[in-house]
Amino acid sequence: MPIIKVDNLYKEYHQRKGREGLTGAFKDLFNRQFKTVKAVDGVSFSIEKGEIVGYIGPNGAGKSTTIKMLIGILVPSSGKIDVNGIEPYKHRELNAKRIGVVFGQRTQLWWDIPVSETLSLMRYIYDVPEQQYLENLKIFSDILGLDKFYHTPVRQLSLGQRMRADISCALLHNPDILYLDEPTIGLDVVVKERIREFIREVNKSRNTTIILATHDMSDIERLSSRVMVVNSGKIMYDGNLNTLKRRYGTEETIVADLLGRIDDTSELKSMGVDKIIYDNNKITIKYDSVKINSSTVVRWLVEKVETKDISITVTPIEDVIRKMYAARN
Amino acid sequence: MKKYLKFIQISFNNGLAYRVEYFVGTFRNLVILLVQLAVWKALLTAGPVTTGSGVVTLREMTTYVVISSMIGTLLTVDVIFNMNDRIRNGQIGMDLVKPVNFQTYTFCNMLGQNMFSFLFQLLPILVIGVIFVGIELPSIFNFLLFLVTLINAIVIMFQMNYALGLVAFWYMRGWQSTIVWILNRLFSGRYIPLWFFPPILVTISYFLPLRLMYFVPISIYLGTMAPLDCLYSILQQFAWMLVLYGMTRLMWRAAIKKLVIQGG
Repeated sequence: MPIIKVDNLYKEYHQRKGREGLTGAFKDLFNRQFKTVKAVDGVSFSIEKGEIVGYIGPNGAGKSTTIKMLIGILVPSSGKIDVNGIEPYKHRELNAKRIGVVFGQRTQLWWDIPVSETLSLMRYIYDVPEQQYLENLKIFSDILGLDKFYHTPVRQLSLGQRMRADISCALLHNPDILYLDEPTIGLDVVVKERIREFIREVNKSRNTTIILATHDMSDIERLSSRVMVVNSGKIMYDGNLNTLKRRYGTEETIVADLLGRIDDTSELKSMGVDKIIYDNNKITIKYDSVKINSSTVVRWLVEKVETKDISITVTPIEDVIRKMYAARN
Repeated sequence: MKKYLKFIQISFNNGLAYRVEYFVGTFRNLVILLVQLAVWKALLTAGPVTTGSGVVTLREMTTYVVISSMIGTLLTVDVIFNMNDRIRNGQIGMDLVKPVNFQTYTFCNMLGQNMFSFLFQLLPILVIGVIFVGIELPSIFNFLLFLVTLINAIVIMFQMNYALGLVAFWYMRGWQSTIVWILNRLFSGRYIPLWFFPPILVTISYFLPLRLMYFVPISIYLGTMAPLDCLYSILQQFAWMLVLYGMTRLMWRAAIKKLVIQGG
């Protein structure tokens, strides 16, 4: 019995076409032109309890629109959604009790008051028992470091702190489903990793179903085995992440600024790396992530030499989609 | 229920974060009040004036002005601004993600704000009014009736603002508050009591809920309204509450269908 079932879902927007310039604005005043945009175009899928599903696509692919319909704050144009046995938009408040939501670009925290106040308010909103409340606060402090900014007003938090506070808010009431929409957008690598770690932990210990919408491939790589790729409102791929990578995008690049010297890079080649560019104190390593994974390469580097900065670039989702289209034609 | 009490408390705390803004508002209110008092003093110094509805003395008029500015601190259009902002920038999505009734939530926000205004804006006017201006004090019976009509006025003001706030779902411009502001200044009796209005405007005012916000409570406070008229006015208030309640419910249902959450 799937926890989420979506059947032939559509969402169309009527978008106002604003004409250019002053005369255009004047014309718009009397004769408005609209165009219909299909944000979600016949989407069907089902998700089992306890799954982590990556919902990936470029900006404007219809990811957020689908999530908003799943959480019940947007009414579908047509099609059916069943979450936990109810249609979300018809029973918004009931649905809201069982889910947690994090939008990377928004916050559900009260802007002018400390994080602690928002959390205690959330406790009343969701009727969280005291024991569970204290337990969760402890977990959030241990893993997310919530205690470091617990009494700070939200407007004074850094982006990473705010995101961690937002995730804490979304999980305080032990929801069945956690929706994450671009939860790591604009965050540095350390905070990103910490958040991913926490999400994985929550999924494992509480069997929380997690839907993660993102355009960052690396988010999904760390978290989910199942991935849905969307573009222009349609699902292009639904299945195993490794299969997807094997078929369309397996090239990764590691760039490192080194403080010392590496004498011999041939060992890397024998490990399966395709290409190495090494000059002075900068090394660029290109490899196929099916043959060798990033952590092996990074471990090798760190063992050999002192590094200042390491960055990993995976194939961007746009490239994967381009290859998908190319493969179809 | 507890969560809504908590909303009121948080909204009150929010007021503390913007206390300087409130204090500036207090100062602004006092300045406007002093100007009004000076104008009426100049007008009525020669003696009481006879109007369509009776004789008006200077003391009555100064009392009217002081009470009116006290009520003014509680009847603001902040709800419209707030809703417009939230709808326009999509933050309303985050409100709807919570298992909370949006209208009740908005109402609680306003109550918290009103409590703050009561302490830091209304009370200063009251103190100055009693000590320095020497306003009339009502009979206990009139005062209780005044309180009832005032509480009703706060509810009606909220419902009107809420309805106009919802309009932002269809029209993304903040013109609604300007309309309320203008009508309110004219027909509510906020600055000029309806006693001084030509009959045609008085007649129009009977078809609007605005008269019930300032003019009716203050007239009751002053004891210038006949007992039967008081009763009628209170019944009118309840009628308006019912009408507005039905209207906002219908609007909300339509708005939710139409809802487009702005931005990512």
